[in-house]
Amino acid sequence: MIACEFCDLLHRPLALRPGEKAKCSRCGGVLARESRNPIQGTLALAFAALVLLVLANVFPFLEISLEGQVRENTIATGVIGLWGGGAQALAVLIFFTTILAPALRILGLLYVVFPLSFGWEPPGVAGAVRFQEALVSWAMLDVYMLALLVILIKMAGMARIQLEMGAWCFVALFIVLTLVSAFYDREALWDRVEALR
Amino acid sequence: MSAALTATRAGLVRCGSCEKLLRARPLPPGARARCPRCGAGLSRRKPQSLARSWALLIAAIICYVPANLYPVMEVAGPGGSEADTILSGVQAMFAAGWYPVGLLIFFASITVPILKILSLMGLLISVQRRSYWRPRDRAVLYRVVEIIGRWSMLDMFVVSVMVALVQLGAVANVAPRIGATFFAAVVVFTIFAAQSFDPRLIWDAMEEET
Repeated sequence: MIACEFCDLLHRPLALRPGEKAKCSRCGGVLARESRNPIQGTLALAFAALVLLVLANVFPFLEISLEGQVRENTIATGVIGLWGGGAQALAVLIFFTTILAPALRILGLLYVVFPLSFGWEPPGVAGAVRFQEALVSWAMLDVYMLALLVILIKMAGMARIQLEMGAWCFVALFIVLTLVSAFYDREALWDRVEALR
Repeated sequence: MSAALTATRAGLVRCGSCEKLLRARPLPPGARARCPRCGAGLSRRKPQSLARSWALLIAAIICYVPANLYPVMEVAGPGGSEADTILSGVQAMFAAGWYPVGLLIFFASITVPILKILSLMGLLISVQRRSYWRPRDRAVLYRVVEIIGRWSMLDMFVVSVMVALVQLGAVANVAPRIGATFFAAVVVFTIFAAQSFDPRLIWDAMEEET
């Protein structure tokens, strides 16, 4: 039997085809989902996400030129600007939501799925699973990407603005992270861990 | 509705971390049951759900006032400086004719926080009053609140990029102001408040009377 996370109602588990979801008959919440390739798929995508995350942080994503001055912008320059402007608390929050949380989430996920894909249970697997799941709602790169779009439109009238390499890394990262959550399957992860014990 | 077979009624507990269903056993006082599969602490419902959720929500409401009264950023140029609050920023965008962006910021910075605060208040009050009113709709409302809450950070990200981008000496400078910090606090508090709320309480309230 499985219990609904959102209303506690008991259900008999259904056999799902890959990509299918089961919803609770009482509250409509997602009961279970079947990933196409929960371990290897997540591993491959998490690796891609890690590479893109590094690139998105190294390359500037915007260049502004106004009256002969040119400035390039990375995520870190935004954080430093806030800190220098006296908004330290906000700087810390932005650093956490756009750099630290996505990085730790991906590293935590790799720590879980990389050994599991080779049939080996990493020490402290339960803590690592919880850790990276707790970070999912705090990794806000998708919101950040929308913010870039807003800035592009806002600044277009005032200065010459150009998207740089980092911006395309962002778009790719957004797509890859969306796929990571589509492949991630907590139930399959625990089934694998139990099978290894 | 009243005789729905829930895990609790069947004497089972669902591990909040790894989803395993376990038989509930009576515990000696002071002891904490742990999940045999993943080691997480077990509880039937999120602990102190209503008290925690209310506390965080009230903190968010308190921060909401300065978040809207104080400016979030200041633009300084040769023609003097201009400080924008959340609302005046949206008004400026509409005045400049940027309707889609203005609407987007209006939605993320004004509609979502207000709706989120009101929805959580409604959910908490309805659970405390043991309401029977539209439980399924309230369950959906909770999930929507949980998903859209983080998008309120949009304007704060815009401010952070603007601050770094527009440092052009005498031409134009953008600096953050205290309203931005309060607004970010509203977002953080409401995210925690939503996470502390246990949607299973919506259904529990309807069951315990039978």
